[in-house]
Amino acid sequence: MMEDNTNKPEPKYMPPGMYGYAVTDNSGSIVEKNGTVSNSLDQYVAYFNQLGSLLGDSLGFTSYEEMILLGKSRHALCMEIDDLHYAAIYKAKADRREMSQFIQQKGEENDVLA
Amino acid sequence: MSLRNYFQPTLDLPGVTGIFCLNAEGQLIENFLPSAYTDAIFKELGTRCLTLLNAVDMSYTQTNEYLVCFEGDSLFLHKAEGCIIGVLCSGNPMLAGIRVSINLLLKTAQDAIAQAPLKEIAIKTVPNQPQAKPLMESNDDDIIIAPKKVKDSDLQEAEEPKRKGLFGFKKDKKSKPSNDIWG
Repeated sequence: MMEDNTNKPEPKYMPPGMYGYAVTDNSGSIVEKNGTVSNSLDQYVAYFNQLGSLLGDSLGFTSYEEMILLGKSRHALCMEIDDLHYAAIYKAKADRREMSQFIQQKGEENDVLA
Repeated sequence: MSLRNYFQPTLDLPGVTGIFCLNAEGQLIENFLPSAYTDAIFKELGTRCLTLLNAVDMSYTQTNEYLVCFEGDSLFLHKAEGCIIGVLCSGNPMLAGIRVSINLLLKTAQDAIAQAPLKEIAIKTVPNQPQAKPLMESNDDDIIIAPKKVKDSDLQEAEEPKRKGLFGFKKDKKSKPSNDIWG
């Protein structure tokens, strides 16, 4: 008997080494999610971005770009693009710049769709 | 041996523009940032560093290392036992080199950092200066601190006229003296 897979969403592309990413708005509501991202990171990415931005203000930097939480085996990336907050989790060994570029590309795509 | 000697190898790394060291409460121990960054900024910066580290620990997971990127610059934060070290970098920092350097620094200088006195942050205040009284009325920038006093007569004018009753005869009836009926 054939297995019914009609309800399962098609997996979207992610760069090698990325476990998952989530896009939320300022209230923490999920706009897009792919792969595995910790629930708490979804909820708090907007707050983490705000704290990172404030930290930059204290040093005279007004252009906050991203914050990476460096774990032993996994890194978490927090980014803010056009009022949307992006959280991604990837392997510590993965290329950091490739991950950032992928999320930036996502941001540009969402900006065009908005 | 001064603390500068411990921090110098990290300061010499390519892309590193400065280092600061805070205690666990976010108070300044040492500031090796460029001279434009005075000690006074650390009153706010220390609190904000601490807030970020605590927020991530409490709501996500225990994290000891952070890289906060701005346009052209980045700040690497390392939370250790009893201190927080911040490394300010320009351009694309060699993250692996900074991480190794900080780990070496902490291995050798942790005791010296723990014993180092806190830096006093000068806050510009003039002692015994009387506080300026707030203006009662001010129209600067269209902000009225205290509203103007309104006279009772103005209020009476502003009130809507009372209804005269059905068909408007009530007032005329009342205006007549009561003894008119009896002649």
